[in-house]
Amino acid sequence: MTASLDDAVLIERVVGGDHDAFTALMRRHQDRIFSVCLRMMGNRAAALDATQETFLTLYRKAGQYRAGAAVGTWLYRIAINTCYDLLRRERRRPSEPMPDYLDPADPTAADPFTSVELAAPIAAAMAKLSVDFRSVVVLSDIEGFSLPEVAERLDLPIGTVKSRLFRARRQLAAELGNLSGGSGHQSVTDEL
Amino acid sequence: MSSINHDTHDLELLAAHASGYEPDRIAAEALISGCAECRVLFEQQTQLRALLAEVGSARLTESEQSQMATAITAALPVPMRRKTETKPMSPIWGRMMAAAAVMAVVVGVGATIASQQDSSGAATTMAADAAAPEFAAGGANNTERATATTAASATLAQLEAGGDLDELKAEAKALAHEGAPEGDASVSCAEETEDLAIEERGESTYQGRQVLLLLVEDDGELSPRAFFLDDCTEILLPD
Repeated sequence: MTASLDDAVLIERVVGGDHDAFTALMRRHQDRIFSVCLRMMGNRAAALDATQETFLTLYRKAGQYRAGAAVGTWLYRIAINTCYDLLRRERRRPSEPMPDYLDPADPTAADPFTSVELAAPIAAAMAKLSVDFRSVVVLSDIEGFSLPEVAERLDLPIGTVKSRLFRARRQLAAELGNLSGGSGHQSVTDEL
Repeated sequence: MSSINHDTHDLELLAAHASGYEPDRIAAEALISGCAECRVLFEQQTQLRALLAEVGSARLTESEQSQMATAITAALPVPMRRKTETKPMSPIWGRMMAAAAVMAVVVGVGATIASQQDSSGAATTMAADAAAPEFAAGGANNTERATATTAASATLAQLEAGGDLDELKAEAKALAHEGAPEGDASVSCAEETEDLAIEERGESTYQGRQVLLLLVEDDGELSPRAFFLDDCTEILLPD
């Protein structure tokens, strides 16, 4: 019954302390939020932590939700901010990156995207992007949001989104090698 | 459009066009048709986008879903308890309270008269004792903590009996006016709270467990936060 309710109605109920409404909201959005967190954080364990923290923040701040705004948009913003915070905390606590073999995806998953992490070169290139650049690329190119949607989710002017996207893709191209196939392209890229 | 002017070209248009952003389409097409470097860059942007789109969205596995649900459920507050109705006072308590009230009035009136008449120091001391916050709050105990925690400690007894989250939240908010009590848990749960812009700290009890209360600056506002001190899990306060 609760599961069929509109997001905004569920949020109202969460404010009133309704755990079922919170669970329904979580089930509805958890995969998309996890996906963004995974691409931002780079491994499933950290992404799971970020997703969990995102929903706890949603619970804590449900009263700040403004009626009329899309809950999903708000939730993405919370998720990205949570990832920023966690990544900042990680940077302050330097540690060896977890080797891939210690971070296996669930081998029982049927969906290939759940069982396969980003192809290693792409993951490595993504990891080198600044968090600001990464968030734009994740939302635009991996999750497929339009530029205005990205701008709304990141609370940025659209010009900033375009600028970051251009520079982020260029940096990725440089990391991944020549994507256009011609040596001339690489030299042009290098010159720019 | 000449390639010579490439340095002045608005390259962000290429990113926007590669993303299918319609408002920039015409300007971007003009750029691409007139500038070889821009054309190459546009191809690069398009190919990158296509490559990343193949990565696609990820999904939680069933075990991850259940792991997360368990962790979140554990972190959520217990459903709000209904306020228990106040039990009627027993006759003996009623009489004692009435007697205490009469005593307080007598002492207060006596002190006023004494100070007006500028008489002996003993009466003045009595009046000062009667007006002391510790006395008023019923805190007979003389520890530093009880002295520092004024109104906040007044709700401690209620919270020890179970209490509710609104009261815990109110207590945390009260820190803004009262400051932290001496000897608080300033180094406890350091890891969990290291990223918070903490303005005030205090302690309390909730569900029979020691709680770290914080007032945290969040988006320019002070927000109350609470953590169990024994395992540092956060108690989600109602918004």
